[in-house]
Amino acid sequence: MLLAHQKKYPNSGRDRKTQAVILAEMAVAGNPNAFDQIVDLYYNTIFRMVYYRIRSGMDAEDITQDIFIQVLKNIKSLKDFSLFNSWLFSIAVNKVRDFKRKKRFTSLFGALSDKNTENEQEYEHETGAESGPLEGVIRQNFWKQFEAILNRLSSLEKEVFLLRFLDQLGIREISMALKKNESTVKTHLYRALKKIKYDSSVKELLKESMP
Amino acid sequence: MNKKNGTHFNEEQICKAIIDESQMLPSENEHLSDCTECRTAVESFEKDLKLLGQTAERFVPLPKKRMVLHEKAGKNFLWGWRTAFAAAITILFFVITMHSDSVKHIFYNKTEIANSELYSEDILMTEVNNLVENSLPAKYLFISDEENADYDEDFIDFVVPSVGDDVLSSTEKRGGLIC
Repeated sequence: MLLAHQKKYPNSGRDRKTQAVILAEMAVAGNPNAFDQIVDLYYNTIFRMVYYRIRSGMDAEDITQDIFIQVLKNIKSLKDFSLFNSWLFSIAVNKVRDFKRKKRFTSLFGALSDKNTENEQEYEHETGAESGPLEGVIRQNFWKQFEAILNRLSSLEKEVFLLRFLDQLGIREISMALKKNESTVKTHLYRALKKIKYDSSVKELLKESMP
Repeated sequence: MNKKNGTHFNEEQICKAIIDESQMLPSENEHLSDCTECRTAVESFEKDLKLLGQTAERFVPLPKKRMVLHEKAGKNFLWGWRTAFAAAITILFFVITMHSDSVKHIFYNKTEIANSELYSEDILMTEVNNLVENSLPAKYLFISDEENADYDEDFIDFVVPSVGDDVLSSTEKRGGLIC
């Protein structure tokens, strides 16, 4: 089942970015509906971005909500609206990093982990109910292998790779989101690609996951 | 091998071509435009990466909740503030009441309280009675001769007869009457 904001704005790359710039300007100018439209425009993209990194639907929803609250609080501090996309992703990257840090800390007290796994399975079951059990198994297998591939990369290589090829950001946007030089981003992306190119499991993963 | 524009692209050059074509050397650019084999290799890897992104997107579950942005931001602040205030008041109330005697009656057993009160009253009455009998403390009793106050009166009269008794008895012994 698609939510209203999921139907309304399909991924449309540059158009969406232009639209976001206009909406950001309107939101800062005091238009109360502009921010809601930004949320509608970016909700799925940011939810996916978070999910790629933490692979928990429930947590991804909470983090996505936190990201937009942060955006709402700080949008007035944004000087150049053309950088909205990079700025939004930089907030998202930091929120994910915070979440991972907190999770690492709470995992020391293992009591919560069992309950979380149960809830997550329930969540996956509910959201994947439409696709059927076979699709569910393929999906689980995909994320397992995908994680194994990503684990061969360093943390910065992983982040740069995800931002470039899964979140579809340009080199300049990535450099702004991560606050790194463009040359540093390119170097890490180059290293990540080299590792992935030599990794035969990527081809296998794509073959197995084809519909 | 493409003899015209040098050797075929190696893995590193393929990666470089994918990341940023503008960074490639002019000879590499020329080779890529001429050599179909290298172009296919670059495009194939690009296609794989794109497919990986699309597959990942396909396997992301749909979010269940609709965002409640404004409500959450406001509600969180108020709720947090109110909860903290209520908790502080409750703790303060308990601290004060637990230390006041009047409230202790609510928490302790009434029989216990009555027994302890009776016991303290007994102690007090014993002290009062002692003071009624002997107002002096024990160490002064010896000095004041109060320790011997319990002797029999007849015995004392026998040992130390009163003056009046003596006069009468001597006159009676002489057999006369005093008029």
